[in-house]
Amino acid sequence: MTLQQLAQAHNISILAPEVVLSLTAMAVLICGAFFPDDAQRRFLPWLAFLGVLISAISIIPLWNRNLQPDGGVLYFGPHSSDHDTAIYVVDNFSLFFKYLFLFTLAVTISISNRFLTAREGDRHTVVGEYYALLMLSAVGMMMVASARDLLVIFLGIETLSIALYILAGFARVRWVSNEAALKYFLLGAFATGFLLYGIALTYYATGSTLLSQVRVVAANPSLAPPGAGSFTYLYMGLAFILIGLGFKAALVPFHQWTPDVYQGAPTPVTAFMAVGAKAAAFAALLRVFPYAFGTSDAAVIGHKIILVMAVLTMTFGNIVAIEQNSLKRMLAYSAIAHAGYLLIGVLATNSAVRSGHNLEANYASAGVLYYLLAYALMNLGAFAVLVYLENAGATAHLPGRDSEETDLKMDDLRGLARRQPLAAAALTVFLLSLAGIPPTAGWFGKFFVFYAAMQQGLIGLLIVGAINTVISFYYYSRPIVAMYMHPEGATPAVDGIEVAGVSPDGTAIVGNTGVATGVSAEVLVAITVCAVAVLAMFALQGPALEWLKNAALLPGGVGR
Amino acid sequence: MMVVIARHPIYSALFLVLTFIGQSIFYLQLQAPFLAAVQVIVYAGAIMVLFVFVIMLLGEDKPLRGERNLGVPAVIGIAFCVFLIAEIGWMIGNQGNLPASHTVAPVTVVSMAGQTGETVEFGSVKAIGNTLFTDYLFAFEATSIVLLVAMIGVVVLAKRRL
Repeated sequence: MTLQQLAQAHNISILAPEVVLSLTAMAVLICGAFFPDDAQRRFLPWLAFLGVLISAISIIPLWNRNLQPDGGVLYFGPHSSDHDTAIYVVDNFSLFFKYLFLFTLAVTISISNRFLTAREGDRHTVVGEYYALLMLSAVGMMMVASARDLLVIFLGIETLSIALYILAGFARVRWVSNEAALKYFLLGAFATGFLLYGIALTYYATGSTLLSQVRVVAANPSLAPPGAGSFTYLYMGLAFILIGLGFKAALVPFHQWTPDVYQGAPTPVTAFMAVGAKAAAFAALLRVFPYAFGTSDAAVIGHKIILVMAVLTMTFGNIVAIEQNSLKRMLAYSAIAHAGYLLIGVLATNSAVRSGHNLEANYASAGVLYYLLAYALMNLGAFAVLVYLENAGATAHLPGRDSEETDLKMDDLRGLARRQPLAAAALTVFLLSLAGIPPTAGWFGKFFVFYAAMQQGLIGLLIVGAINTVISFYYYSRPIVAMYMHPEGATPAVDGIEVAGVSPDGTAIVGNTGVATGVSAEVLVAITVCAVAVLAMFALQGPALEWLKNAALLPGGVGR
Repeated sequence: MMVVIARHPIYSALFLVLTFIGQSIFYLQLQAPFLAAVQVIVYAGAIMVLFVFVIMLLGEDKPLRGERNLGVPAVIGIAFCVFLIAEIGWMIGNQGNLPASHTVAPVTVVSMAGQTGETVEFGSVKAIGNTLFTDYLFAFEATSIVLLVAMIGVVVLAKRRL
C-alpha cells in the first residue's frame, strides 16, 4: 500500500489544517535554532504567519465535508463504515472554531511582533520557541474542537494548556510572569486531574469514552455494557468534567487563577489565552454537555449545576471588576463575566435540545457561536490596544514604576484621547462592545443569547443577565471617561512620545502626532481589523447568524 | 506505611518500590498483565531510579532527626486505615450478595465496534496494541505533540539565555 493509498483509506486529508500548523511550528523552531543572529530571525513571525494563512486556506475545501459519504471523519480501525464511532470529525462546527483559533493566532502573532523585541530589550529577542508554542497551542485547540471522544478532548486540552503554562512564564525576567506561570500550572494540573477523573467515571458508567456511545447509554441505561457502574458514576463523571472544563473557561468557583495569570502573562499571550483557551473550553462544553448528556437524566443535574455557575460567574465577574484599577485585571474579570453570559446560551441550547425544539436549539447554539466570535474580536482588539500603549512606552517613565512593570492603570489613560485619538477611539469601540452597547457586535451577541434564553423560558437567568449588563456599564465606562473627560494628572500619563525619546531598538521616536515609531505597523493593522470587524458584525448580524447556523451542532452531536 | 515512617530517605524510596510492586500484583489479579508489567518497568524501575538519583544528589545521607509529631493527623490516618480494612472485610463478607454485574468474571471485550468478531483477552498486550494502533491511533499521535510541547517548554524555561 503506497502512502497515498494509506492516506486516502484513513481520510487523513481532513487533518490538513492541524498538520500544516504543526509542521510550520516545527519549521519555525528549527529555523530559530539555525539562525543565531537576531536580525536574521526577524522573518520567523512572517513564517509563522504564512503557516497560519496556509492552514486557513486548507480549511476552505473542508466546509460541509461531513455531508459527503465519508462523513468527514478520520477512519482508523476496523469499523470505518460506522461514522458514529469515529473519534475525530471535521464538521462545520469544528471548522468555525478552527477559523476562530487561526484568527486569534494571527492577531496574536501580529501584536507579538514587536513585543518581545522592543518591550524586553536585549534580554528577549525574537525566539522561535515563542511562535512555535503559540502554534502548537492552537493545534491543541483545534483538536478539542474536532474531538468526538473524551480522550481526544483531554489530549487537546493538555496540548493547549501546557503550551499556555509556558507562554505565561515566557517573560522570565519579570517575577509577575513567573508567578503567573506557576499559579496557572499548579491549578491547571489540578483541574486536569478532575477532568481525567471525570472521564474515567464516565467510562465506568457507560463503557465508552466516545461521545456518541456515551449519549446512547446516557439516554437509555439498559444499554450499558455488563459490568458498568451505576448511573451515580455518570453524574459524578459529568460533574468532574464540568469542573475541569470550568477551570479552562474560568467559570466562577474555578476562576481564582484568572486575574493573576492574565495580569502577569505577557499581554499578547493574555489575549491568546483569554480568547483561544476559553473558546476551546466552550467548544468542548457544547459538544459534551447539550449533546452527549443532553437527553439523559444526568443533564437535568448538569443543567442545575451550570445554572448556578452561570449566575455566580456573571455576578462575581462584574462586581469584582468594578474594583479593579489595572486594565488587564479589569479585562480578566470582564472575561470571567462574559463566560457567564456564554453559559446562558449553552443552557438555552440544552433546554431546547431536551424539549426537542431542534430549530431553536440550532439558533441558540448559533447565538453562542456569534457571541464567541464577537467576544474574540473585542477582546483581541482591547488587548491589542494595550500592547500598542505598552509599546509606546506608556508606563516605563512613570514615577514609582519599575521599568519592567508594564501594567496599565486606569489613571494612565487620562487625557489619552487628546494625545492618541486613534488608540482612544479604538479602545472605546472595544469597551462599548464588551459592555454590549448598540453599534457593536457585543450588543447582538448578548441579544441572541438572551433571546434564546427567553424562548426557553429561562426568565430568572435572563433577569440576572440583564442586571449584570447594567453593572458592567459602570466599569467599562471608567476608562472611556478617563480617556475623554479627565485632564492629565499631576504625573505625566500615557505618552511615550515626549518622554521616551529613543525606543529600545535604537530608532528615534519623533513627533507627537499620535503614532510613534516604537509601535509596529502590524499592531495597528490588528487593531483596525478587529475594530472594523466588531462594527461590521453589528451591521451584518442577520447574514452572520444564518451562516453560523450552518455551523451549529445538530442534536446528533455532529454539525450540519 | 514504612515509606512515611522510615527515617532515611533512601529506605523510604525502597519501600515505595515494594508498594509499586504490590500495586502491580493487584493489576495482575484484575487480569491486566500489560499494565502490571508497565507498572513494574516504569514506576518501580525508571521513576524510582530518578527518585534515588535526586535523593543522592541532594546529599541527604543523614537520617532525618526530630521528634515524631503524631497528633491529630495520626489519629485521622489510623481511623481511615481502620475504615478501609473494615470495608474490605465487609466486601468479603457480602461477596455472595452482590449483583451479578459486580462480580469479576473472566473479562473479554469485543473490539470496539465488534466487527472483527474476534475476542481478545482484556488487558493483554495484543488487545492494547490493537486498540492503540487502530481506534486510537490519532490520539496516540496527538500525544506526541503534547510531549513535544512539554519538551520545548522545559528547554525554554530552563535555559539561562535564549
